[in-house]
Amino acid sequence: MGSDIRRKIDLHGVTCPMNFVRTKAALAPLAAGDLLEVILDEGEPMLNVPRSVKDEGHQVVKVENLGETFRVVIRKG
Amino acid sequence: MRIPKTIIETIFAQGERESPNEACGYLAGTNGEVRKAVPMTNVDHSPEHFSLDPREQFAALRQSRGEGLDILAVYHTHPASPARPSAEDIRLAYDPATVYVIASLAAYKKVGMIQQRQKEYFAMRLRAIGGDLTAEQLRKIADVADKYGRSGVHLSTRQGVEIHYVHHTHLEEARQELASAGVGMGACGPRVRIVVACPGNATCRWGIIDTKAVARDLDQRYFGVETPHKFKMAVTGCPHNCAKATENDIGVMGAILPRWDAGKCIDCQLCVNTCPTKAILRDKGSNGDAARYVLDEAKCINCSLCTSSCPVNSWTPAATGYNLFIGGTMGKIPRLATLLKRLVPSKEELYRLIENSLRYYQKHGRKRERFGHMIDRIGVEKVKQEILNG
Repeated sequence: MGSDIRRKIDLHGVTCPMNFVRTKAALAPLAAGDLLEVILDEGEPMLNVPRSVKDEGHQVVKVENLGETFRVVIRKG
Repeated sequence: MRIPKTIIETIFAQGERESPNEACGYLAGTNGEVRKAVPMTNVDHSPEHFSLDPREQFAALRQSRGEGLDILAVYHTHPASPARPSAEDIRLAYDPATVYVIASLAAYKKVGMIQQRQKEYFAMRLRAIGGDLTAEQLRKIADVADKYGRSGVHLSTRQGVEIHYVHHTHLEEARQELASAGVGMGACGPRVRIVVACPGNATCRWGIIDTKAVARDLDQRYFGVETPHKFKMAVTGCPHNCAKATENDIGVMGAILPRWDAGKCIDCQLCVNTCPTKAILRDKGSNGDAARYVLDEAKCINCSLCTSSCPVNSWTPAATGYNLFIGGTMGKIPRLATLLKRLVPSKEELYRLIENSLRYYQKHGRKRERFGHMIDRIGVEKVKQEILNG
């Protein structure tokens, strides 16, 4: 899957709601169906960002636990 | 002798109508259970004395006998003094078979008014169910605080507003002004307090239940009902527990039971990684079978995190209900609540269990013993079974 990913952003240390704002901005230039990889902190970011992404019509397709952060792959809707 | 709350309210209503004079009458019933109040004319028409009208006495006796009831008690009100027999009350209580009931309007009106350290001043605790007040009510509260207090208000830990520094001579006027905007008095002492609630599903994206509707129902049924010690209820929309249901004597919490639908699942693993209690397990399957997700219901806290974040709605609520907690308290000896029943399916069942809980506490609780401490004294499992089956 790694090769299909069009863009990666590391949001480790970025708090809500800025992490979602930056996720949205990173998705904006992509085409529908493109994949974005986001590194998110555990806790609030993992509760809020995937849910907001869903509300905006995109889809989380993979979540991997990296310890205190998560690698989240989002398909643009 | 037992007097139902509705009859007590009838007596106070009559007392308010006839105030500043004393109001009086008979209480009729059988086997120590009062069935009705028979209001009578105070022929003295006095704020300090009462005499029953002899003709009404005779009529009341005859009618009660016709209905199979005995006269159990004579009641009268004290419009401005405590519910203690005056010297005259004692002198005139010559019938040892009759109970003499005194209802003090002064005490009744003072519920929610708390004497301050500065003895001539009181804090007025106002009643806001679930923390809700209209803008108009807030303006009235501000006016009353300006006029009778020292301009400010205090916000209590139970979503209430208190006006401090009201001089005792102004309490009644202040109470009436607040009442004109529909702002009533809160409660203090050994009784059911204001019901607190979070905003619930009306506005909160996590809310599962209509918390305000449940809070209003509970307030209407139980506000001010007397209990062995203070009794607090909270209604919270979901297991985020913002309204702290588990720190209250009765805690109602919106809850869902998640169900996994294999057909829609894309195996992204978001649920496994966000479930706060690790109640979702991924079985990776063998021989090329797709992964399966399994819910450990014992670990699940019914919070809806999986169902609301699942990107393909593979997790959905199979059931919605109320998790009911009993016996939580903070205070001097904190105790988190005991889960009485998970996913209570209907309001009717919820209210039945709350009714049973309150009655059980009224029957078994000792004076100044909180509900949770009573549960620990008697035994958690025993109390749970008796309330569930009661």
